[in-house]
Amino acid sequence: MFKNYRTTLLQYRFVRISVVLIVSAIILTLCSLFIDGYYWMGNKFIPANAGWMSKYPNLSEIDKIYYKQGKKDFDYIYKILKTTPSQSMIIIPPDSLLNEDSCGKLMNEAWTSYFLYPRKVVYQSRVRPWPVHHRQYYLSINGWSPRGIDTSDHQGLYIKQYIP
Amino acid sequence: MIMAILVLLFLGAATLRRIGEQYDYITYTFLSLLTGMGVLALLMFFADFLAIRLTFWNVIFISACYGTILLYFNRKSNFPSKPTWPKMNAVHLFWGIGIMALLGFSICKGLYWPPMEFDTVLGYDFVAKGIAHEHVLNNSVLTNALYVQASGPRMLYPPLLSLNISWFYINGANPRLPMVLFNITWVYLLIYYIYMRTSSLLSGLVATFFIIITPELFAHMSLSLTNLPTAIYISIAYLALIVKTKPDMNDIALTTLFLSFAVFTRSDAIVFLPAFVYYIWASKTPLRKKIIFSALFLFVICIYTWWSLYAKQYIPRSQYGFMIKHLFWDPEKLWLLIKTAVGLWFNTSLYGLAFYALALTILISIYKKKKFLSMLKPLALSLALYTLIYYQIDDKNDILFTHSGGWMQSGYKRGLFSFVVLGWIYIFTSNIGLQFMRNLELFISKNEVYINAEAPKDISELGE
Repeated sequence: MFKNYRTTLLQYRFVRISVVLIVSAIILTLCSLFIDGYYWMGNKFIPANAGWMSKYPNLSEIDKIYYKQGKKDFDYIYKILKTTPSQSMIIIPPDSLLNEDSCGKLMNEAWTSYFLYPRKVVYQSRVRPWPVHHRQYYLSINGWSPRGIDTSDHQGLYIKQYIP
Repeated sequence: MIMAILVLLFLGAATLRRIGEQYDYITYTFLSLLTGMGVLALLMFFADFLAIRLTFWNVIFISACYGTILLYFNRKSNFPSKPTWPKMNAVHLFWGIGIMALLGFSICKGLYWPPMEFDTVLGYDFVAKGIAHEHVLNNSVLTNALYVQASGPRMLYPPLLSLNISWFYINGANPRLPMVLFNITWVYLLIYYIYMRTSSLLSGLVATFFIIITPELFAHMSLSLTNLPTAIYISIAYLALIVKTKPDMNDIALTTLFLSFAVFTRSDAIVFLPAFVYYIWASKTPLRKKIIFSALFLFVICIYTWWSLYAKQYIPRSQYGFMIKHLFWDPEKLWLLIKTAVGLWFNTSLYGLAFYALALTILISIYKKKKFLSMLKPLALSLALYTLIYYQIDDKNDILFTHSGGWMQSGYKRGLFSFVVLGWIYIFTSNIGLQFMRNLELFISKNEVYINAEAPKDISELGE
């Protein structure tokens, strides 16, 4: 009797489609619950990104980089980008004044050069002789300048034009 | 932005003018876009080779010359036909909407975040910025020994993606747009080709859905890295080859073109060349055609060699510097390599069910005594060759197998995208998959299912 009942029901295309739809939905739900990669996509990757994008739809490009790279890693880059023209040379203090705790990825010359491009990045202690450029800026840390360390200068970080 | 896309479309449409006769105009448009990106990169590379600066107007001029010449020689070709839409029901819509939602998400995410992932920053996007700003390929980025060293092997890869990104930089457009275009065209062409190959729209939709929900691959859909574009070109090249029982000159030309683009995106895609040649020689194509088809593939080798020589000349690092250049036998290394590789294949957090489904299809085929080898052999051959490349890499600095960031866990892992996609295509085009999905299609349709007369009904028609 059950077999006849089933056969009769499946004669209707609507029922057949519903059966396939329900089975498809069950398979996808099981995948998203029990297969760790699909679980990560459905429950973490997509919701987290979609949530962030809908919360801050109008964030500027620089703010997005600032947010993703973190304050420590991008603070210096962000300040240089904001205060110097694109056609310029940026002089970075010697390696002895840079450390990963305070300067983040500034130690990484290639990484820094990407974000500052097309500005020319020159690490004071790594390049000999210095290239000549008509617009030179330097990043000062604790009173450092290409002329030496000026202890009377204000402490901290700033960007200043350098005229040799 | 519109101008940048129009140039790609024009280049692709001109290149595929004769091949496009057999397609409808929607498929022709998508194929043109995907082809345009490869042709633009090759044209820019060629122009740079001739010391022509890669400025906006120079690229427009070169593209116009190239397109006009091709359109003139193919002026007698027929125009693409009108598309015929397959009959759809709620099941098709269910999978279709799922694909659209995932694609929409990856497009939004890709366009929202600027390039900042490590491999893009110290690699493809950096080179692209250099090209756009200095108008030459061998610019201050690509020729800087420090940047090249810091970027691992990334700047040694051929520049298809970088040149495309640079074209969008030159046009003042979002540098993520090439990846968006790659994704959109790929998804459409996957559905189209699998539908044409299997005569089942449901197969096309379900296969595409499972391909794009591969976790690691899905994450890459919104990043500007080379692994996914390579998989895209390889999968469409493969589908163009297997879509008919007897591939004609146009199909082989399309396969050659896309295989060249894949090799111009990542050199390691060359492992698919012997697999594709093997497929043609194992098929029932007449001997004369087999020789002509194999000769066409020489174009792929030319592209590979051209880039190798260029890289040797201009990039301050050897392309093969990290390889052991002689054959050797180290069973311990080989065993560790195979163990790590198999562990990655069956890692569900990276590739979901892809390799499990592939293994299950093979087991069912053996159990039901169905033929399954003809299409599996090229896939297995290329996978073996790809894995053996890593065997030849010098592991003296422990770069291969470390858990945190060894090359097996990064480069090898991502290079498997092509195999994941080919694996899913295999599952849905194998005898078991064909039979199951056609029965399912009949179950939900009104007994009127479209059959593509040129597609093989059975895998054995392709030869063993």
